[in-house]
Amino acid sequence: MKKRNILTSPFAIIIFIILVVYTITLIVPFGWTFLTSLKARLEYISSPFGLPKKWLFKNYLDVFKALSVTIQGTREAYLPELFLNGFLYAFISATIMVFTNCVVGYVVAKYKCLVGKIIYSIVVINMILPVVGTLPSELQIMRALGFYDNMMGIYLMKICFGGTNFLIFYAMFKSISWSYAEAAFVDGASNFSVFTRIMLPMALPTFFALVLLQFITFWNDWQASLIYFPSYPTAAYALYTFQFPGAGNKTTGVPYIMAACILVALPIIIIFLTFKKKIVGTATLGGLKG
Amino acid sequence: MKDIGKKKGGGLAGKKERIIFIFCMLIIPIIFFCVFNIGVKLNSILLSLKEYDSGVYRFAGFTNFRRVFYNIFHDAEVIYSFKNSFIFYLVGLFITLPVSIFTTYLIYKKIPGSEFFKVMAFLPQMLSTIIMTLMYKYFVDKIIPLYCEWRKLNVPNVFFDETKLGVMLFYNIWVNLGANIILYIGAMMRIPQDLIEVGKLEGISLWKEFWLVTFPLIFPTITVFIVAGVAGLFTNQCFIYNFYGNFAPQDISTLGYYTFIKVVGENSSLANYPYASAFGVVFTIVAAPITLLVKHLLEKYGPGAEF
Amino acid sequence: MKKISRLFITFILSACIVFGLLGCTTTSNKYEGKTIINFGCYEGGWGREWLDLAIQKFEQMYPEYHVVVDYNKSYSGSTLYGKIDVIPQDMYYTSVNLYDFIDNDKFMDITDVLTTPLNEYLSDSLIPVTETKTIASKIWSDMNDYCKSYDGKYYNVPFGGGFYSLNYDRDLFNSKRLFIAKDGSWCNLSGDLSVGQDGIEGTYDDGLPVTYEEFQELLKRMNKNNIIPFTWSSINGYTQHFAHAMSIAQDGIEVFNTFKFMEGSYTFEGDDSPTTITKANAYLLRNTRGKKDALQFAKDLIEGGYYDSQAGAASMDFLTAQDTYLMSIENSKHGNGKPIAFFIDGGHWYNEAKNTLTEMADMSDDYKDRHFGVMPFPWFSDATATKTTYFLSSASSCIAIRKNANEPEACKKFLAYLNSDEALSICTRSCGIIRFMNYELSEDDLAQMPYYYRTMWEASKSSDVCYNLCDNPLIFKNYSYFDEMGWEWSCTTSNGIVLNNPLNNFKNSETRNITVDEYLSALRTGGESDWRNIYSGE
Repeated sequence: MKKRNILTSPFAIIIFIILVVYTITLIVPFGWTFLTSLKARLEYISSPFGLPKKWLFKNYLDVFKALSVTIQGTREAYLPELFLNGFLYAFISATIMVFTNCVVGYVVAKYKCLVGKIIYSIVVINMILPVVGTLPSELQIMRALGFYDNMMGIYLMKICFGGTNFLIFYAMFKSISWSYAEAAFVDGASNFSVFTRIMLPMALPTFFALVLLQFITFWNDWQASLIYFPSYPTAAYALYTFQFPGAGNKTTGVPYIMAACILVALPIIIIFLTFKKKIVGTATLGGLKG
Repeated sequence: MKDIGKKKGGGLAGKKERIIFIFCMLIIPIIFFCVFNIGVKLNSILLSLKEYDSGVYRFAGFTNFRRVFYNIFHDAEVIYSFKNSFIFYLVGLFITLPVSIFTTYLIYKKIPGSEFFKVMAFLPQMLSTIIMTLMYKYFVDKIIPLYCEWRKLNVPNVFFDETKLGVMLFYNIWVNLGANIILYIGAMMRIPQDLIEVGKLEGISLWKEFWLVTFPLIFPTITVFIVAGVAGLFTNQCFIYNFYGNFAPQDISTLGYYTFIKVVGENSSLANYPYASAFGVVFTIVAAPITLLVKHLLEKYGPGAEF
Repeated sequence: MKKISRLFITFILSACIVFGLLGCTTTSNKYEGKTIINFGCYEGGWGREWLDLAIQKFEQMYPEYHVVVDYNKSYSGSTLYGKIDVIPQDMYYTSVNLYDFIDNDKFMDITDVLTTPLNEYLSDSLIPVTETKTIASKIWSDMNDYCKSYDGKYYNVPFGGGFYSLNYDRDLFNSKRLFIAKDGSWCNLSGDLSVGQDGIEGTYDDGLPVTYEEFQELLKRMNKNNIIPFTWSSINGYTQHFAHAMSIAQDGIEVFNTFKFMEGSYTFEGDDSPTTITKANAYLLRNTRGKKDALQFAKDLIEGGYYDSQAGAASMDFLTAQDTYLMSIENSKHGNGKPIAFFIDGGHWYNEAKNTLTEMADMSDDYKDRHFGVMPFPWFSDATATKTTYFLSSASSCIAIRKNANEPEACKKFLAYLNSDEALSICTRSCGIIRFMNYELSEDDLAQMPYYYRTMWEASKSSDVCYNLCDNPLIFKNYSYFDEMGWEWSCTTSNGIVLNNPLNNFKNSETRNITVDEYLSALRTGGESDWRNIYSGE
């Protein structure tokens, strides 16, 4: 059996070239961003391309000190606080959301009951049938319940099920044999302890992987702060506001904006490199950002 | 799996515990689901029938809907939004989708450097869209004028002149291509190995394998993409807000952007909520049947295979 | 490797938490025993140097007081309104819709400060105050009427606005011989300069074009000499105000006041007899000859290609645009682009550009002493103005104290000092602003100021200066509409194209094909329907 090589047909070569070009279009702006972030402000005006004359790593320090959001109340929130806000929001929301889906997915997959069937159909219908333009309504309800601009409320709202998270848990629990549970029931275990002692530990790898992905999604969601909780700005949101300069501010200019981009990207890049296998493995299950 | 309660040694106590367990596990999610999913949707319909008058929403019949229908045919921005949303959707369907499937297939078939390409595809997905936006915006706003000067062409104001649709379309392909690659790589990797072995033994070419095995098997994933895209047609901002904030030129607006800025940001006001909701209701009424139809057609006439 | 990066993450996360918590604690107070005046300063183009210098002097006069400044973008408009009751700041430099604040009891009645002679009000100062005028007597007349129009009392002291003129690089004009001599030839500063728009020799506008024809010649000459005439930033408001200032400069202050007070008459183009202007039809004045001229100016500027290719680009925030303008001369020396002659922005741009100016001075001796100037808008042949006219935007900027201030007396003293002649001159000297008041600068003050500030001062003194506020309720109740929303230029054409900015509209592809006449007619038809919203409130 001879080894089949795909790169023999002209079509495949064209596609390959597209792939290479695509990768280059990703690398070049990143490289440019990095080089620009090290330039002096006026040097950028003179030569937006090309290497920096002096590599000003100090820009990063300046941005670290300057990147801030004015909270509608009374004060500035600086980068440590912005990172903290973003981290708490992303971590707690991701955990709550994934846990909810885990619980509901488990019950629907393993317990035959009417409610489960209804939930499953609703989730599927929700995914197929688009209901769009509900943002005003959602904000109105949030305001009515006092959830708007209130982190507790924001977290509570993450108790929702549906989407790929639900389907992944559903499929996973379906595939786990029920005989473990039966053995436990014989030993007098309750439904609850079967879930927490037997099923949940088996689901943990999936659980963590999904939390990780969901964390990244929430961490990157810069609009969440704009739309739902303006008083708890995140680093991603700060980046959006940072591009509009303040008068007389010394840390304005394109190199600083680029440095801010890299600074905010850094935690995610570290997380990605650390958990690369896990992220690549899980993300291919359902895709990211949606 | 049947009748778990009984197996437990049975009786009423087991059944009762089982019901209590299900109840405890589901009650909170269901309550929140009812409020923030179903409730939000129902409220959206109610809201679309109201109008805002000095602090309170009053029932106003179909005025918002009249305004929506009037604007769909008369308001330049809404007309542009329709046009652009369709362009973005079609580009997604006819450029991003095929290109991503073919490139994924190459990666899947382990061409040289496929691991590297895979990691690169993740890059735009890992970083916040605002980071991608800023990098792209500043880079493109400099590189295109440079190119035009070099070629002695008219230098455009990239994000405001004729070039703007082009650069926004490219950005969409640029960012979404990676996402699609991730999606389809997953689908391809789930193809059972024995199916591929059969092809290998019969010595069919890799492209033949693609059309006979891979494509039919990843078709459900593609279906999901296309079907979800119909809703996206009405909701996608296509990153317009990231680039232009509250004041995009009206001829780059999309339906998602148009309704978004009515509710969020400097142009927003509580008075806009009903109007934006009415748009949502109209879109839903249009999008739902189209979605079902598309799904039906794809399932009926698409390459039939389930795994 | 994995372990290390996990440790690293743990470290970063815990650092975040620690720093985050540290951020919540406040620093201890070094000024115990002193009365603290918490001042909220809007972070605008005028910076804070004017305030810091005034504080230095004030704290010498009153050692028992200490002023703490919070310098921030959020001290303006509705943002300030939303937080005024809960913040520690008692006193503000801000920009607000005054009536909203007075109506809702947000600002303190400061009539006593404004109507007591300053030497009496500040009689307890360690350094004696000799000024015998009251603050109220110094405020410009229309502005004064506006300030007390609510109930005859004062609640704020007007500050100053963005001065709109043609900002030009005087050094470039000199080196490229762009000045006009008495005999009509081109010359540099050592030539026999023409007298300029004011007709007086030895003033700031000597050698500058008077008519639009001359200005066109100037632009052509720039093109020939490899100079780009204009650039501007992506901030919509600046180009809007600029075009508005251009139209006002053509019409003159009388027509401007006809609109501002909505009284008088105006003879429209093609009409034989004047139309009486009232509150019911004042929108008609969106179609003056000046408007047409300003549109023509914008059209010619764009069609002649008299602008930098990056003007108004998305990445051109106002600081990047300023940097591009200031650096253009340096870059052109290295074969990188051409020098740019004019910069479209309010008069505060120079203060904002101070960092760049300093950095460039370090770069080369050529930039140690740069000269920028204000140039009068050239007159079209149908201009009705008889005197050079300028426009001041953002007239609603002011200094005020909140109603329930923690330290009302201290704040009032500081407010009084901030509006003494001494503080006014500090203000103009340090950031160039023209305060809405009558005051003089000494020769010494003038000598300390950069050339740009001097010309701005001279121009404001010798010309008519228009600003949007007076005691016409239709104007001040809808002030945000007239000033910030660019009502002068906002309209929709019959086929639904939204216009709001002549320069950018004529430049950008979407609206490029709109003609001057189409723009004018859109202004006319749009005006009436807009007006119904405003006028019904009367």
